[in-house]
Amino acid sequence: MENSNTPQQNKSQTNKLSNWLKTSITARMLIVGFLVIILLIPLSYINSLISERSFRQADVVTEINNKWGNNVLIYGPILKVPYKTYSETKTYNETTKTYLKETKTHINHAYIFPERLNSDVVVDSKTLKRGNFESAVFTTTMDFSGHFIPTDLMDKGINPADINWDKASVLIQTTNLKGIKSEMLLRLNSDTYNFQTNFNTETNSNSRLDVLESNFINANDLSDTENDNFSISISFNGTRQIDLIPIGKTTTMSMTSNWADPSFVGNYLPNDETKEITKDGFKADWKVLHINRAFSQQHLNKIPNLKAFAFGTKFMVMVDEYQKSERSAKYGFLVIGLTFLIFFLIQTMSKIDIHPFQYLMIGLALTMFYTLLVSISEHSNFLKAYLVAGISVVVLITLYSKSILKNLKFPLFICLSLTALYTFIYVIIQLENYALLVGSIGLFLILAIVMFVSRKIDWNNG
Amino acid sequence: MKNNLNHTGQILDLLSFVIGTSVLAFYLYFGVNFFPIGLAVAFIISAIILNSILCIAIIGNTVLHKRHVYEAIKTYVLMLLNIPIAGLYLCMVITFTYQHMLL
Repeated sequence: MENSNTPQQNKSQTNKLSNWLKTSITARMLIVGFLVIILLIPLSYINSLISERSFRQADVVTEINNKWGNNVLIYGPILKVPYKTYSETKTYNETTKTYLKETKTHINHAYIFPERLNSDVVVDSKTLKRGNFESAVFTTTMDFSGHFIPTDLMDKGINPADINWDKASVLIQTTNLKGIKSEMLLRLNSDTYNFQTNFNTETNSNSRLDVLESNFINANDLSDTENDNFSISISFNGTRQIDLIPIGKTTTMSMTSNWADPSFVGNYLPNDETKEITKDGFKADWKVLHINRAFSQQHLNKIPNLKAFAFGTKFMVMVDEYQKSERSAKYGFLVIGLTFLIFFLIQTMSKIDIHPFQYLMIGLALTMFYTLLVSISEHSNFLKAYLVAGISVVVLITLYSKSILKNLKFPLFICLSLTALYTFIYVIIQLENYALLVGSIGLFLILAIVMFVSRKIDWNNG
Repeated sequence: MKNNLNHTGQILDLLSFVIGTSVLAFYLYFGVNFFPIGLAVAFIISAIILNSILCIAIIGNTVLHKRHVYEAIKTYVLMLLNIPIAGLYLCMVITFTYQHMLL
């Protein structure tokens, strides 16, 4: 293997390559394209940074929420009534040659839902801050009233004589025991009963609801009259969401709050005619009838999991700064590509030499926009952050290009183009339904401008 | 064999660097879905084999003929320079992937 080229041949080969790299439009395009690809590396790290900050925010919000109180889901009040069932066993006696009948008595429970359940919910919400992050929390007072009747369980095959009304109690299940602020009392006609926690691995394992159970109630307090015979008042510290499972034959809920951005969630929406949402708060009413949901008023042996039927309101801080930053960073490739295209066209048309290092500096300035955006938006709102970051980067690149291009015409053009580009990206990330339309039209216009500007370039030069 | 080994070596170095950097950038930005990891591994293996063959050829050529020593050293240094760059890229891929797994 012999290298038979003379030093002159080698030198001429190197000069040829070097000359091609300096003068050829194709070579310049390849270099600029490679620089755009290189700048994807810092862009990917910026995307990663935004995700990390977003997860950190979610962690902090979860931590605040866990300390203040969880979301509030109320499943109750439910009347728990013990009843007897019998089983017979026959044993054959060898000596007497007869069968011995043995009757065993078992105690089971029937769970009876109220005939009517009215809830009046008042929610006082506020935001709690920790560091740069904030979470919506609330204090709510939920007043329940309604009507239980001493239900006949004959249709379930239970003899009235086997029902032990003396050991009946009232249950309430909730997700947020920790957030209960005051002593809970059940008023049943003229009597008042306390609630106690009743941890039961069987009931708690599936539904993740904690159970509060009253003392044994006086069965005489249950009447067939139409008037409300029970009332319960609960105060909670909670976060995120308030839900109610509509277990009453007729369930109504009225919710009033000072929270201006409610999101009504769950299986049933509030009455549209009475719903009011203003900047000072909202008011909403729900009414759910027993024919609106597919479960009965009595259940034997276990309380069914009816979470799927819950309805209520979500209280969330609309912090989507990171989401917006993430969406704007997704356009980073486009911003860098288009900015380099502008510089490349200026370079090609004006024959001003721009070194790859200068391209790299401009590219890094463009990527700095996103770190500025994320960091400023943590302390301010997104628009302000976008303006500050955008103006800083546009001014920096304009001043730098003035020193590279040695005139005022091109830097001004670059300043205008970058301003238009950042405005275009801002409009796209703000729009939801029209983002695709505006984006497509914008890109079409950019393509048309590039085609118009580059029509006189002699591409065969390289 | 009328072949300028040094020149070919330098072009191969440059190409390895450009393609390797592009592969890294696409992998980091678009994720593994856009750029299959198998393709990247195939590129790395072929780059190692080609560069090693050329490196041995250049060393052998220089030792045997004692010509173009300066050019050979230049090519050799460029080839060696690709090793720490590849190491750095590998570190970046590992830490980046690990960070994403944690998030």
